[in-house]
Amino acid sequence: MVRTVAALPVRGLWALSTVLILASVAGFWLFSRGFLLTRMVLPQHSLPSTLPFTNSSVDEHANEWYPAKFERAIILVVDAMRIDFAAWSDELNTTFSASSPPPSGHRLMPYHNRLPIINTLNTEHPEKTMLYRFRADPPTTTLQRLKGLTTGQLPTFIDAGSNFAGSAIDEDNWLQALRRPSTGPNGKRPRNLVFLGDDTWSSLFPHELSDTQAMEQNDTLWNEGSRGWARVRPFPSLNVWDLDTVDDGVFSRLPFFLLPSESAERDMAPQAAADVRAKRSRWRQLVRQQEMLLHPDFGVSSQSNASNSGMVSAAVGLEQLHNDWDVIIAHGLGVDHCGHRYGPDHPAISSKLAQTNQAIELIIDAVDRSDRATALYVFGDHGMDPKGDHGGDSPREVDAALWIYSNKAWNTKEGKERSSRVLEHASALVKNEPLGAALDDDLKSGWWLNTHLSDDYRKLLEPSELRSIPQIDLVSSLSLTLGLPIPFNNLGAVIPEMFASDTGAGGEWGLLRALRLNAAQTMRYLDTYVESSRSHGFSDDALSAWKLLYQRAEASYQELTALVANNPKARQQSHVMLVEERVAAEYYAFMRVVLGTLRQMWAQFDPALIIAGLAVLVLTTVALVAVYVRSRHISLETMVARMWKQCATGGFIGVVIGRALSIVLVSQSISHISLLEASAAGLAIGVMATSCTLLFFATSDDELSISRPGSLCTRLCSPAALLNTTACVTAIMHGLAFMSNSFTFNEDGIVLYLAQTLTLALVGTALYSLMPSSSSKQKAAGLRALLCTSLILVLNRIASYSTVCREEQLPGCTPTFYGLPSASISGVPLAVANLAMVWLVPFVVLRVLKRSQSHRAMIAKLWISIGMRISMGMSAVYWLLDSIDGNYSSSAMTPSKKSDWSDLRIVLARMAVGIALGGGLAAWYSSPFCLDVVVSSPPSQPTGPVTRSSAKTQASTPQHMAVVLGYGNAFGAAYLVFVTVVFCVLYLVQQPMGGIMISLLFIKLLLCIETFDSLRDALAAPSLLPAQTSMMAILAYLDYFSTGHQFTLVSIQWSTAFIGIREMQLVICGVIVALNTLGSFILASACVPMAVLWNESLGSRVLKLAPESFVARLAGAATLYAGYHAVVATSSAVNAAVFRRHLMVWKIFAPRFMFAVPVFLVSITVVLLVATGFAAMRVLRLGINVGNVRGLPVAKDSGRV
Amino acid sequence: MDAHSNNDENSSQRVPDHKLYPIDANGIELMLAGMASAIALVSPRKSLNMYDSPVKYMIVTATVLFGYYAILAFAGIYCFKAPTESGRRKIKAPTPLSARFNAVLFMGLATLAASLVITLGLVLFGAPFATQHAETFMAALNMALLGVTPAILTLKPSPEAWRRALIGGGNSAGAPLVPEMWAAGLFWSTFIISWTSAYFIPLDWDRPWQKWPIPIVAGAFLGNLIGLLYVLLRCFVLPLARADYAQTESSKRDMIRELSGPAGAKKEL
Repeated sequence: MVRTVAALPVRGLWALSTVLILASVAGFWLFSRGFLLTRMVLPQHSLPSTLPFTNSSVDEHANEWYPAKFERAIILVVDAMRIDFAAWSDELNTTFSASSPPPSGHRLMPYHNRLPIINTLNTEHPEKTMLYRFRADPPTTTLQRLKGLTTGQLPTFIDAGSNFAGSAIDEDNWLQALRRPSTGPNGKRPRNLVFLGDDTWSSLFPHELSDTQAMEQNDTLWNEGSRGWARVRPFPSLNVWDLDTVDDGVFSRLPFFLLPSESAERDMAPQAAADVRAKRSRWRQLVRQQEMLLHPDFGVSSQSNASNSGMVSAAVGLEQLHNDWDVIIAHGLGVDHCGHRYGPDHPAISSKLAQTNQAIELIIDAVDRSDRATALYVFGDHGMDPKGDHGGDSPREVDAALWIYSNKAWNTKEGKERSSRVLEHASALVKNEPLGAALDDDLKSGWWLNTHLSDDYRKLLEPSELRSIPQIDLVSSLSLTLGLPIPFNNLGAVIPEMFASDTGAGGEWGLLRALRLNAAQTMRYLDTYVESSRSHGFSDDALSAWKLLYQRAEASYQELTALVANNPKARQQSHVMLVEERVAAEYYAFMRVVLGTLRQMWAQFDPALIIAGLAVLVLTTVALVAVYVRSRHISLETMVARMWKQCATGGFIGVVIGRALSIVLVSQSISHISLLEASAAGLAIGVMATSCTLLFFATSDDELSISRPGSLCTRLCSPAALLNTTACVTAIMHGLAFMSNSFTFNEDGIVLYLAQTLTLALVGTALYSLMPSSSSKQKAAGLRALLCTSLILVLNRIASYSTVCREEQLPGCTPTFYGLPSASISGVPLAVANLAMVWLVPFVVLRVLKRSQSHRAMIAKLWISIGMRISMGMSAVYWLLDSIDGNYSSSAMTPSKKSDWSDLRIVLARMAVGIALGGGLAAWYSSPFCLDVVVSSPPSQPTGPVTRSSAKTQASTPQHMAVVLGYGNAFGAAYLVFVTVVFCVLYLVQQPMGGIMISLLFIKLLLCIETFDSLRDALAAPSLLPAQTSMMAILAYLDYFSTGHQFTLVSIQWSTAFIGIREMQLVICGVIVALNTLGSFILASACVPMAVLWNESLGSRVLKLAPESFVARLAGAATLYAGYHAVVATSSAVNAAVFRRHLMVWKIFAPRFMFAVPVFLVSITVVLLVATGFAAMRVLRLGINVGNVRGLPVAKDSGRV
Repeated sequence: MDAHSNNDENSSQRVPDHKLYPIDANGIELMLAGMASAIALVSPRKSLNMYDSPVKYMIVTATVLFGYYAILAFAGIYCFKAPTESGRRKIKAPTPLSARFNAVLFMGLATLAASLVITLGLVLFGAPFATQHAETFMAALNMALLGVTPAILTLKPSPEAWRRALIGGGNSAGAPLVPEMWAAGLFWSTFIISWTSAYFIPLDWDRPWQKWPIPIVAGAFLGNLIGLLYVLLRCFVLPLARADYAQTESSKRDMIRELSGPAGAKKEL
């Protein structure tokens, strides 16, 4: 019976799909290599007992890194303290403010000369202070800066190895070292730590900065002093309109530590007590919001001491707070918030700085009173631009200030001279180094003028020469001066002045010791990094250069030791001191070269890779649309046959040019593109550019299509063209939304707006088709379209109701995904509502099939009415049990016990998938067609439109007719069965609200297909594919949000990973989470071929005579649909690159791009390979064979038996 | 363009549109819309402004607009009179009072119905449906008064005319008539600019006027203003200019022909 026809031509489809997918993968890969800066986070820690030296004599392992120079440290972070806030200008003060009014433009800005204490002490006690220009690594956001200031590392986007969800720092840092047991200089006690201020610190250091006050009540360990206590008072940092709360919180609590307690005051001499009282009242006046003082803090433990007289000082009392603290970290945000709100030119900043000045005065007073060596570090974590904002890399944003003060002289004149000689030697060494090209001015020479300081003064004034240091230099200096080990990952060099005045054990120069430890630690880090992964990304040149520098320095050091070994007094001789300085300079040069090369690799975007990646993405987008345009006229086979030679040539030329260019770029140190990347970029750009050119030039001699922009003017008035234009505009507007951060994080609202606009355009088209001149058939189709589109309008709005809000949306957004705003588990009512979908979805599918009588076929009866309902029912029951478990039983049970129905749930989930894949997919694969033959007598004709529903065949006797049911929509119905299977799987992995929403999405997609089919009938079959594919794509985006997702990493529903499994299995869990996250895109992609297949009759002439053009149409629809996603993905990449120095780049733009990659890749893979390449081809191949049953003549529209 | 061809083709039989239709009352609307926009945009610190008390403000504007339309509907002067052979308005018998009241009533009810439909549309486009009902409804009422009521007054309850005017297609009468252009111009420009101005709502500028529904109502006012300018140009100024141009051109051509005589005629050939 069955005669095989010529095999369906699919080679062109596969070739094109592969090229397009590979090209987009290459584009994303190249872009990510340039944009997403990546480095590994090493888990190692530096321990005080282990020195970093690898091969050294035994006596060096004196069980300490560097003897603690300061016993205590106060770290006062003045957020956004720019260098010109701290620097002083006598000239400005005398010339303009006193004698004559300043000429216009030379006025004293509100922030100039507002920190006089710094200048006073700099001039009075130069041996105790130093002011530095403190250069930040962009992005200059507080969170990123704090990471750098504690770990000594460079900011990269992905610190591979860190947990994605939490923001806690995994890397070794000095805060960890402070709180680690057995780090104390004299004993095993962690340091006592006080933290006050910005709550960003608490999110970065949840363990280190956990307040021990509550624990002290029940633990006697603190009593013995063997455990360090911590007092942590974080204050909210997000409200930039609030200038005072954080500062007041800091200043109201600092006196507890800096001044003797009130009980101690009573025992003091009257004069001293009066002095303390005066200081206390000055502290009190510093607090702007006096009500902060109404709630005395830290008093709880002492009160409980008094009441529980039986437990003598079971906790840390107020007096101990004052006496025993080791490190105080205070982080005030007033200046930063003032900049954000008013800008730096507003008078508000001067009062904020004056407040800071007073606070510094009071702190210094306390430091001076103390007889223990105490260091005060005052610094800004970043600067601010002329508008008062920060985040980018402009000079004013990266120029913070660092001021160091100590009650002990640490910066002697001699030390200063020696360290400046070291710096000079080091910069000479760095200049001769081939890798030195990668260094910027900061690293080459430490002396660099503040260009913008003189800008501010209109170049009239000479700013004082300030030494500039990278911010991460603070880390090693701070660690060593406190007697802590240098953090393992640290890359900063020690600040020379801090050690240059010291003489260590055996008369060794302090700076030499410090720099040697520093360099050895960095070398150890580099070695560990190289060993831990083969893809470390360091070039061989760099590695060997580092090794050489380090070994040279070590060799010189050994020479020096030999020199002084026999003569202990030799160290005092000036020529030996010069040798010491040269050796120190060699270590310093090594540190700087390492930092320079690593900064280029890890902290700088690579413009060449970014541009190459974007070029590939743009060309791929164009090619996707071009394939659609061409596929309307020629088959894919012809397309591929005509193009492949030129494309291969183009690719070859691209590779040659790419490799040549890469050599030039690398030698000019513009980029660190590797040869492999250059080849990939060249190949992809070459192939894509050639194919785009060929596709478009070849089109020009064909008939112009109505959907292309070039020919819009001529046929603009046709409703189909208007509709397609609206669709194109929608896609473009969706892409343009990423140009603004507000649109990007409100994308859910934007997508609803665009979807509704497009649907409204459909309503308009449907209304248009109801015009009086159209036939009654057209009117019926128009009415049907009107009904469907109205339903879509309502369903879209319902879909947008369900949301999980992004952090940025929060005050104006209520999360509804889990039922109640505060819930994180779906409520039972939702799970019950989800049960309704079990009835609704199969009902709608059958209703849609009914129009072509396909619902009476065996597979429809068996699978859709029964199998699908069972599978969906099991999924729904699974989620019902899950929500009952989550809401009712968990609180009553012990956590160790399993929930009531966990076994049952696993069985349900597995059976739901099993029925879908084992039953539905297998049934579909063996016989997808919803066909049935009934013999009926003429009067009992099946209702419904005859032409569409059935092919009537007259038997020999006129009384009886053989009717092939489902003949008219044979291909569409057969394909729909496949989509239902996909849907069943996706339905299981969605939480109850997500299940409801994805069911509605499926219904909407079916309605959409019906709408466009009706519109094609009503408007006499123009091409509506651009509108239809855009519609499907935008519905997918809309339901991405309504299934409880946002384009942020935190909104990924990790809890769904364990559906149907008990233990963690990486691959399965990953697949389930991916299905959950990308469910809406997968479903929409799977539905795309229906846009072409729907209502394609079994006897379709096109399919019989030219199957290859039918395949081309399918591929065209698929590429057009992928084109929409490509526009969105490309635009998100372009905007991420444009805003790479935006404040919100790592919070908004980069995550959006990172989500666009899987969305696009999964969509294009599903639509081209799975939906078109596999499922649609399967249906077509079988259909051609079935349709060629002998005796079903091809020529007539209806098959007669 | 259509009006142009219409003029060219029918200039012998038909009197040009601008002479057929009186534009008497319609200038008032322009003034009113301008005034309303001015109140909205210029007086941010007065007691009645759009972003401190949007509902109050919109009630006032809606009342003003409604009163204005009611007067015009009562007087029967908003809509254009049907063209007559002579090109002049016929002096008709005075309309009975009940018919006038009915016209006002119809206008009011139709506007109310339109505003309900627009409310539904706003909610579908993402307006909050659990809160801010007053804001949404008043916004819809204002939009209806600005965009739909002109159409109600000019097109009358004829679905056919509405479809032809607003969606186009299948116009058996050939070029669009002035009432249709008038209605369509105001309708589309009001709604498209109102649609566009939703752009401002999600931006993080923290401005008081970004609150729902201020941008879209302001957009509707602006759109109405632009639409008025457009329809006035399109329906009256352009045809007038074209007519003048055609007249002067033809008279020039005649003069040249007279002056140059047979030689000129040859050149034309």
